[in-house]
Amino acid sequence: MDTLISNLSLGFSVALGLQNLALAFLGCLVGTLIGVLPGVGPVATIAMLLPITFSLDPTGALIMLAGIYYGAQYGGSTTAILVNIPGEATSVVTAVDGHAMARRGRAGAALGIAALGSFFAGTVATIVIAAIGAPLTRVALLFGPTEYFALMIMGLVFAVVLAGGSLLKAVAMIMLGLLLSTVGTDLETGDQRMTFGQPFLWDGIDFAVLAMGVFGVSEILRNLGQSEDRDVVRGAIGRLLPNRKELRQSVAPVVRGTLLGSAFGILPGNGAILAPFASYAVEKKLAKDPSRFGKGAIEGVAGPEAANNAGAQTSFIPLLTLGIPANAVMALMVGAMTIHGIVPGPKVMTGNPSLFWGMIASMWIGNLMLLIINLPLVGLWVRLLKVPYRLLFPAILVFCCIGIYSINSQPIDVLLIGLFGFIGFLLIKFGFEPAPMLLGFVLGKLMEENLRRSLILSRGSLTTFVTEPISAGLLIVSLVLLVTALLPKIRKGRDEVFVE
Amino acid sequence: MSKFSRRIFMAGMGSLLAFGSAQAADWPQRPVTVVVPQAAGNSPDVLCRIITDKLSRALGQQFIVENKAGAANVVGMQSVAHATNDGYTFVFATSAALVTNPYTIKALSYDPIKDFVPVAMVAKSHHVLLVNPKVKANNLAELIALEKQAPGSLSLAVDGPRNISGLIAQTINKEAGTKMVLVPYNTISNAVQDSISGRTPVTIQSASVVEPFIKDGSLRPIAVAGNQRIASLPDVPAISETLKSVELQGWFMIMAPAGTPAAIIETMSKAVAKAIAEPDVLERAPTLGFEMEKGENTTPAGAKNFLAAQYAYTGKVLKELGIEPN
Repeated sequence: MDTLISNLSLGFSVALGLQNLALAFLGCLVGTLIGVLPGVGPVATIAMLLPITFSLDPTGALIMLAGIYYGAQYGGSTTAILVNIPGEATSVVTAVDGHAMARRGRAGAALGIAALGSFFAGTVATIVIAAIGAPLTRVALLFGPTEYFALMIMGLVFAVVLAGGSLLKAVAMIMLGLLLSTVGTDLETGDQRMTFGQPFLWDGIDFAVLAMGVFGVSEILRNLGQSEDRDVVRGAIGRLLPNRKELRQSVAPVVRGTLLGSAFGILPGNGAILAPFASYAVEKKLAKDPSRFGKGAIEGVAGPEAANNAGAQTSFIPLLTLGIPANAVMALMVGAMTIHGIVPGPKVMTGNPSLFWGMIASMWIGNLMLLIINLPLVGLWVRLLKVPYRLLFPAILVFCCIGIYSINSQPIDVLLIGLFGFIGFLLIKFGFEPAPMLLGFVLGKLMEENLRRSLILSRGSLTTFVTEPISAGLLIVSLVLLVTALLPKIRKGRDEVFVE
Repeated sequence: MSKFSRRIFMAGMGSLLAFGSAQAADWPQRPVTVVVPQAAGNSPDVLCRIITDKLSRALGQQFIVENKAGAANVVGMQSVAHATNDGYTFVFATSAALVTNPYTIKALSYDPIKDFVPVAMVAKSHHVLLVNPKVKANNLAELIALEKQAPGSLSLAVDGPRNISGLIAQTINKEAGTKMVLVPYNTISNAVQDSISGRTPVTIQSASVVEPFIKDGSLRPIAVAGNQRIASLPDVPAISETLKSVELQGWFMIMAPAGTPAAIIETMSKAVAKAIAEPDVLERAPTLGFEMEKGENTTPAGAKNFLAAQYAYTGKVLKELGIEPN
């Protein structure tokens, strides 16, 4: 405990320096702004800003880059809530109930609870990292391909729980997502699968392209389809911030989301993406009236947002302690560290204590700044929704195009969001929800890779999934979840048949 | 056309002509783009940014790094192959793009020899063969002997069958007659993690990635790829010391689109050679897993010869492995 306090005070003495404070603020501000622009993700921004950090000292540079990262995470939620465009896999869930709240005129409450929930999650995650970051690394080593595969199975069960309407349609969408994820180069043989000789398909379909198409563009098409009754709030906006009742409803989901997010974030190999989905599934399961979910339940925003932010932060643990990046942004941070001559890994904590603890302290300061930057902005964002839709939608489209182009510099991606937008439009028209498809898509790649790896490691024996204790445990949990999720629906289905 | 506008027109033409003839001597007049066919933050990208930073200072114009990643380098290479050859576009090409792709990809959309002209060889990348500390082998010969006691028992983590580590692993298997099982990982983090935990007791990784794990003893290096030992691991033998014919190695070369004025290539080549010889670049190179090139290979002619030799060698190796383009 003593060392924790002395470490943290070292950290805060570094992070509270005038220059570092300014850099953290700058990072959070830039991050929020680019996060709000649909599609312009942190990867493109950090890549562009990398040369600027040459002239900074490494601690300052990393503090700024980290600020951009969680600023963008937060800004991404704003776009998801306001215009139903999840910039990253982690804000897909926020879009579901957050945007439903916005339609009901509670955009301000959704944004406010997202900010407050994220701040709480960020605070807890900072303490988690500081207190038990190093020993937790050992937990990560317990997870191999077999365990990841079982974890992904659990993720798919969440997708079933996530589905609001028809179970059959949800399963169909998950399968479609899984199928889409198989496009691209086969990892094991290097063969091309369903790429039709087109280089842009060799690496598979980009998540951002798919998400922006089936969520963002299809939303625009749908709104234009409904002549004047446009979707975005125009009437009474009501209270900007969450009211007392909403706050009370959100406390428990935020706490649960924080715990889930912190746990999933520690797993390398991008375990953090599961956190918001898990949180949503848990909240829906615990809710007295699960039917509110998907129609603007504040728990469906509060929990996943907290989980998202906690996960984003604890995913620094594998980076700082093992030196292994969990996702593309982290990989860029490794790049930034090496540019400054710091080799990420176990040695950073002992070799550069002021950098290590300075960064951890700056995470909390960054979260505080995000709260300060974002709460006043809530009013501004909500007012943005009052802009007539005929002016708003071309702007959204233009930003989508710029954003998607900035990710891979591929013109074809811009055309693809149009195509996926049209497909998404048809899906919504026929009553299929796109969220389970996106989860299937995200999990599909990881599932396939880990399944094949575990089968190579077990030399083809399927029993490996039940003889490994962690994997067996996760599979049992999935089975229980699936049965409890399905039973009521099956029973209800029978009742309906009976009525007819 | 009024007198005035005609005068402006003539002046404009005049300055254009003057610009044309003085192009090589005054190069660069405006920012220069260097395309990296890899994602931002990868070690080739970091190295390229370090070099372009030096070039910007030395030549007085911004050198902008543009990442065009995807499709096994094809996206970036293709864009430069068809770029204007006026000396304002270069590519930071990988060995995979130049000498592996032609043998693994059917109907490749660029020709590494005809579409590009070499500027300078920049660096060789170091890959290390490592084992989990529990594996009872201190060198490659012992590992081969261990494997032969129970063929097919050892799993070897690589980044893909047609990537450099996968190719090195396959040549080792072929030359030594071993049957190590290749396990493909597309994220380095998971590969390293599984080798530390012992699931894949053997792995081939970039030296920069594994340096901290070598230092803290969670992985043991037993050989380095290529035919030379490396400065950061002087006690670790090269693979070719045990298996003579396994010399595969990754490297990077700056190239320009074919037809770029020779004088510009010459100026750029000299500037690159100077940049990669600066002390702080040499100091950083090992942490990125690179050994900077020097001497003959940094000239356009030397780079051309090196490329030709590597092209032929890789072709021979891949043919022996039975790898067909697809």
